[in-house]
Amino acid sequence: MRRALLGLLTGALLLAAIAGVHRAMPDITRRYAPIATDGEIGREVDTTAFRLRVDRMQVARTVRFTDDLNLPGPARTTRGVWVVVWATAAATTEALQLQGARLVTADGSAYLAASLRDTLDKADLQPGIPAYGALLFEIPADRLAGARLAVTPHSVAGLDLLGPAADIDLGLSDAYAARLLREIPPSLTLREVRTL
Amino acid sequence: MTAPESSPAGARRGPLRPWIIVTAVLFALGTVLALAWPAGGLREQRDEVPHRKAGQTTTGHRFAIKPYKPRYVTKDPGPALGDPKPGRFLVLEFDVRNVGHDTASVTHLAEDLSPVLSPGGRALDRFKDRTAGFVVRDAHTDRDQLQPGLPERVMMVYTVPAGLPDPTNVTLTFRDHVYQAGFQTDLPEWLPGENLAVYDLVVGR
Repeated sequence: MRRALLGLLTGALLLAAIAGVHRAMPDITRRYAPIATDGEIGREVDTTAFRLRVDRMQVARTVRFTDDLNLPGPARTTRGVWVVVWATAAATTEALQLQGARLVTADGSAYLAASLRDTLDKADLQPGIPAYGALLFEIPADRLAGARLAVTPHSVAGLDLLGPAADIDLGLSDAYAARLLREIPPSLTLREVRTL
Repeated sequence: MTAPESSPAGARRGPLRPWIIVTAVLFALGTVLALAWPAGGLREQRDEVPHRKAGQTTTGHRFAIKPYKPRYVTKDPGPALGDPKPGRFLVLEFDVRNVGHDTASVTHLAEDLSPVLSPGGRALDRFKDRTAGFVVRDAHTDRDQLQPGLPERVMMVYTVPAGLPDPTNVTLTFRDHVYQAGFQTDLPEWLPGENLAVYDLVVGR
């Protein structure tokens, strides 16, 4: 009888231990997430594959792209607001693009950079040759506060599992986001990406 | 000294012990549940897919759509290059809202739409028959992203296959997309879901 009780108790303890380990494990999305290097505006982030420095951030109601003669084109509108992140980026060892540039809002939604032309995420970055340009996002105005910039080389998340990533705090507190929206300019002009 | 006499085969079999029966029944039940759970568990099967009309909204896990009255036109409304070419086109327009948590595209939406033409009963193929799909904005056709929480007007253009009469009606099935673990990995991804609605649409000219 005593042995049977001991066996039951051991079994229960083992089950509890298994359940505990299972609960303590991060979920599979976090286990395979890109390995992010944290940063903030003005500070260069060095991942294994690329370096990135966010220089400044702006918001606007519309954006215009300059043409070959450097003249602004027609206004491109959005149902939300445009978020323009000006950054300098370079590859470290081999050429790549930063197609996985996303604005991640406080509610966890991820906004891939806009599929319009001439932005930094579309540029071919060469090792050691920095390029300067804009990353362009459109988001609902009420999701601006708390948004962060997450950058990986690929737009398909499955290609960046355990890969290099930069996670940049844009400093968008509630008060700062509200001020940006209060003072939002009607339009911003985006020039093409240039190498430095 | 003699070797012990071996017992004849089956001589040790007696009546099954109760705990073996209970274990076997529990194992069988557990197996059934483990197989049934991924397929929706023991919930009651969904009722028939609802039929809707133009202007009515259907919300899934990735998109909410409100289709407008389709149009049959003889000039391509979304040419990739140059002037509109003549032809036979079916134009579907929607108000679309991305209700998911990440950026989607008009191509993703096209995966969820299955139009069938009447007369003829011919299903349009999203690869072979769809000639364009874009966000209607700023008089351009170069945008295809659907961002979470930002409603957009979307146009899909299909060619009407040769040999079919001019369409008068379209039956449009709208399927869901769900974010869940895939078949080959436990990493979640967007996978096709159930049919959410069937739109019975009259084609305008």
